[in-house]
Amino acid sequence: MADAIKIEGLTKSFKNFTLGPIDLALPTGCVMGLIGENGAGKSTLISLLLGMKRPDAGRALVLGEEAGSDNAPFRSKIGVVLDIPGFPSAMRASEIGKLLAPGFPDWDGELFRSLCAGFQLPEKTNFGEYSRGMKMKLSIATALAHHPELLILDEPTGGLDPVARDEILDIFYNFIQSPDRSILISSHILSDLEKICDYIAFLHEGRLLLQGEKDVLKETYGLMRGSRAEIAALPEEAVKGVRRTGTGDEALVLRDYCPAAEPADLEELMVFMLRYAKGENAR
Amino acid sequence: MKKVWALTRADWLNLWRTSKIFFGMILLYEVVYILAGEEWMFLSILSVALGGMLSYSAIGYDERSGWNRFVLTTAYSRKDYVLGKYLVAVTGTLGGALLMAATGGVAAMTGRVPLDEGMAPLSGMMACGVLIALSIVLPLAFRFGMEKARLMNILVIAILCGGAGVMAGLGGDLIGNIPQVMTVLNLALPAVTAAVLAGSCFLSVRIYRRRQF
Repeated sequence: MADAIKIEGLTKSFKNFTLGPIDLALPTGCVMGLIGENGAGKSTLISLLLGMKRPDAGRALVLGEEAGSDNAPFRSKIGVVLDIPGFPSAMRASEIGKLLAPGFPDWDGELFRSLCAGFQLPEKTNFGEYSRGMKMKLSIATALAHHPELLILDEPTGGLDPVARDEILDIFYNFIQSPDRSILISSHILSDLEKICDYIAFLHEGRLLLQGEKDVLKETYGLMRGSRAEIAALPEEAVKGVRRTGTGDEALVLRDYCPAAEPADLEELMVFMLRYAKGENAR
Repeated sequence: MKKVWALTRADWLNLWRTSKIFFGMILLYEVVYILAGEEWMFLSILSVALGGMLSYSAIGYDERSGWNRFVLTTAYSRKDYVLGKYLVAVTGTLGGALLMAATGGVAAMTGRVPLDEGMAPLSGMMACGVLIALSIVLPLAFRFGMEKARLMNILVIAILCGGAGVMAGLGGDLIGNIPQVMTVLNLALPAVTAAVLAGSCFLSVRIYRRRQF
């Protein structure tokens, strides 16, 4: 099966920032987490995939078509949640559903209503009066209600409480059970990504610092804790980042060199890799 | 067209709920004209302009809410979005013109103004003028955003009104006294307006297809 997303040499330049060149592939049936610090280029990459921006070089294929295609049947296969949900502020959830229905051939009004009811979205309140969490829930409901094959999600759990986040992740997990469905999700809440992602792509200053299968990355990198002398004694090529704490040093290491290292979670991986990239690798 | 109508209906619903004061102003102008007489007819004429300018509010609200960005991720095309706004402009302008003509009739019934057969053609000419002004400003709004376009709108209105005034000064008496000229003007203006509007719409679609967010 072709990749759900395939990016080759994608580049976009701005005055003070350049994204790319990016090479990335999301296999069909998988979930990829896009992580990186603020300003790394995650939202820009998503904008390029959705056709909101045009690349300066390279190409991106989404479900086999050029990203940004104006072809309605193609766009109806993609469910989107943006970091800032944008619906007309004076409309209610049911009216927003009626607004979107003519735009999507496979719009499922019944599913939309049941998702809104499940999220306990108030029926008589205008979108502009919703809390951030409610706005995200409505956005997720609209993304799912037309039975897409691919979900592209930019911070979909931002502003949600832990219970709601868990509920949303369950929905995404159920969505991905079908082998022809895929998800690209960008999030700062790395514990959420740990739960559902198969692949991770780590962006830093517009470049891919790291990408691969999540489980392989966790097997590849680990954490060693010890005194300064013990950490300093580790082979230089094994160490990918060091942090000094009050009780000693911590180092992100390649587990091939240090089999005793504990597996690093995504957050630790990201923090240490960022520090390493910024040259804060004090040993 | 079903998609364009859906977008336009949503715009009118949003406008009705967010711009009640705007509609209130339009109604107030008409009431003042009915009650105060012919000297206040310019208020009724303003209703046509205000009706057309509701399309600016529709674009502005979308920019503020982010809908203009999100809609690009749906199966609505950029062309659908642009056509929807033009439909708001046309329906708003024609609505204002119908209201102006109807108000003229009501005002005549109160006896405060004479029944003037020219009221209907005047409201039609006013609608054409407003649509021509919108045809110039809307592409600017799609290119630069509504905030900048509103500033350019002031310039456009000044040029159009100034131009009309200059033309009236140069040959107004002559034109006004020749019925055939008025007849030709009444027939040609809608056709010219339709052509200008169509050209503007075509340009706006091209502009919006290239715009990046």
